[in-house]
Amino acid sequence: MLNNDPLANILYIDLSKRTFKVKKRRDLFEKYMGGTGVATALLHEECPEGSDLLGPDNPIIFAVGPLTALFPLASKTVAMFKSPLTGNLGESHCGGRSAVAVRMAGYGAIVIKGTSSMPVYLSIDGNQVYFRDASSLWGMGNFATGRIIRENETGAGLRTIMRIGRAGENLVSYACVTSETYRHFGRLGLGAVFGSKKLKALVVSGKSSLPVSNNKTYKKIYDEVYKAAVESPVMKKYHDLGTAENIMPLNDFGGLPTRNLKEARFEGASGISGETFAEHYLGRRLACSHCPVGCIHIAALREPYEDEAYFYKTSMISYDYEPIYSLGSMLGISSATDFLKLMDKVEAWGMDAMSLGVILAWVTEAQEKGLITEGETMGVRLEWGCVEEYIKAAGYIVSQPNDFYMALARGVEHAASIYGGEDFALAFGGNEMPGYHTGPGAHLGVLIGARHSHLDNGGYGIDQKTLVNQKMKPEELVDTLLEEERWRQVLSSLVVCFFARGIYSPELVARLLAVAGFDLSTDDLQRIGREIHSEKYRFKIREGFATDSVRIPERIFETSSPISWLNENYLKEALKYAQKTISKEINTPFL
Amino acid sequence: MPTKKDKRSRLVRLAVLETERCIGCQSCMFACSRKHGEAGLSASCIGVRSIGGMERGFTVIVCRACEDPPCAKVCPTQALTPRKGGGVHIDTDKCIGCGYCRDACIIGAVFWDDEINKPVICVHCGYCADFCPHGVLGLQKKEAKNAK
Repeated sequence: MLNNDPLANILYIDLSKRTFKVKKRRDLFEKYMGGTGVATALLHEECPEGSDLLGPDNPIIFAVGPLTALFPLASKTVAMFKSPLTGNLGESHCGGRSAVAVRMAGYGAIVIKGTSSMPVYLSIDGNQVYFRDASSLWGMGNFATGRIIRENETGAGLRTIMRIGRAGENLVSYACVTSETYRHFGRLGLGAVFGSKKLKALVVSGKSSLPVSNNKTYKKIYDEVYKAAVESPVMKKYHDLGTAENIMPLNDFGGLPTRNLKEARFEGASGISGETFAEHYLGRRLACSHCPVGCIHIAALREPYEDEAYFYKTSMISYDYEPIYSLGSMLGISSATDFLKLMDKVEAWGMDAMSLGVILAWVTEAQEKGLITEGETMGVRLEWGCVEEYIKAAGYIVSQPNDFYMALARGVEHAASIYGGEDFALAFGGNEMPGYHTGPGAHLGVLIGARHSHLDNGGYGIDQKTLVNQKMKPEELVDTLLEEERWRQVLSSLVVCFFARGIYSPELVARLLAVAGFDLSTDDLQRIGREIHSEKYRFKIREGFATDSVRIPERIFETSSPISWLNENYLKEALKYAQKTISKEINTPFL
Repeated sequence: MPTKKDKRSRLVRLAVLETERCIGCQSCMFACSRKHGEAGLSASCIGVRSIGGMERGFTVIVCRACEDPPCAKVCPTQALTPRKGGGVHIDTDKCIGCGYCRDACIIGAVFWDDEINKPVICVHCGYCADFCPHGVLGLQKKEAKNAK
């Protein structure tokens, strides 16, 4: 890396002592480039073995990469922590203005440890860190918190405002951290880690310059990437209908989880399709900083007040494929308006929409089957498609008035371990399932993915493109998934948005990195990807994870997927092989 | 001797053609810095920020090429001088970084490079407009009387 690149600066903040310091860590960035790689190394350094998930030792680590603010689409911030939901490796990615703001403030990473004795928010402006009293913000939702901090702090247009809602304050295990109102560190409960530290928000801003190895080459290669970003057909779908475009194709394919995956086709899909949202609700399209694509789709929902004529509330609510699946088809909700009403609440409370939807779907079925009574739900009667009851239940999960809702606040795996119904509790590795019942690729991908996310290795894509035409041996599928996941470690270490993976080929990445002073061949990149993946698994094993003992919910075999040969034996065989392969790769046995 | 390009730039000014089409990607801001020979944002003289939250859209701040520029009027060292066709030229050697120009520009179009403590002044080259994916920015011809 270049000598004067501020990327090497890591800001360490201690919330207990209210102190901060900056350390130069060229070693980490030269070895792992940034993002996921550096954050994983920092997690090993900063998170003691077996540390309390909601205690002062669980670190919050943010990292960006060398291409951030240099090239388009390197616009994600990687967060690492120990997940309150799974009890293991927690990694979540967020766009908005977060990555550019951290980089422009002069940092490659930020590490937050300790616990504050009172609610605080942190304001980081270049080399200054301020600890602000957030007592008067405690209890406020995502929208209001953002509004107040926006008015209190400087740096408009150049800042990120990451914050939690009441779900994070109340330590809901899948609470999210929201930035710029509509983007999230959604998965695995970073919001609860914020809440446990009494950290309401984090504002980061800056406006610096960055070194490049050769200015002429920089401009030339920039134009190439920019052109690809705005003209390439692989990016088109993201700015037209956005990710919601996938609802109809997945439904036609028979892979859209519906009513807690009792079915994989939803008769009401067209009511919540990307086309329906775009034609009737789309009010605005937004972009993350330094991304000309603009995949963020915001719906305008106009609702009349019931107590007064000609008096309306207009809410701007973001939508994407995953929340539409989890709070839509998974709950039997076929009305876009109903989905938006629920989504609006979930956003204000600050919860991972994906986990919440899967949990509410499980409760609905458990109630149908009589495993749970209205005594437990405090009179809430969940029925597919009944949005008002879903809003009530979600509200109770946030406030946790009884044992039942406290259990739900810890995830579906935990709740099912108490109340039963594990066969239809749709979590993998402790993380609630994403919106793909496409076949073995999707499910195995999430099972062996280091953070149990569909984006770890994109297994759902293998189902749709390859497995639908030809069978693969379990070993071959595992190898394919692992290879993809290793390459994605490179992209997420450069914090390149996965939507741009079609543009950011190994060859291009090597050329872009040369501009930032990294002399790496495509072979070097593949090697670094492997190493980072290994480091993540070393952490997982250290914290007690074993691939072959992970629970597989029976439901995924009961409801047929488009790949008819998906069965339990196949997955078990694949898991065994995955464990053997990973164990050999990292030279560490699973416990 | 003014080059052909200079002559062209004096006849046109950068304009915000349609603010509502802005998606807030800030590609223009990065383009402006690159044009100034810098990566990052410190040398950018265009600003895109939300109007109090992303849900309300954006404001795009560029130099309006005032005919009688207030920033030049308050410059104590004549570092800023009116430019033919509107706006100002900067002579950074003369600039002492007092910041009066920034205060005088009520639309906030005098941007500040904190790294050198001097303003960054738009020369209406239109480079940023080439990197606007939605036609928010463009070059506009000045009326004939101003072009002289």
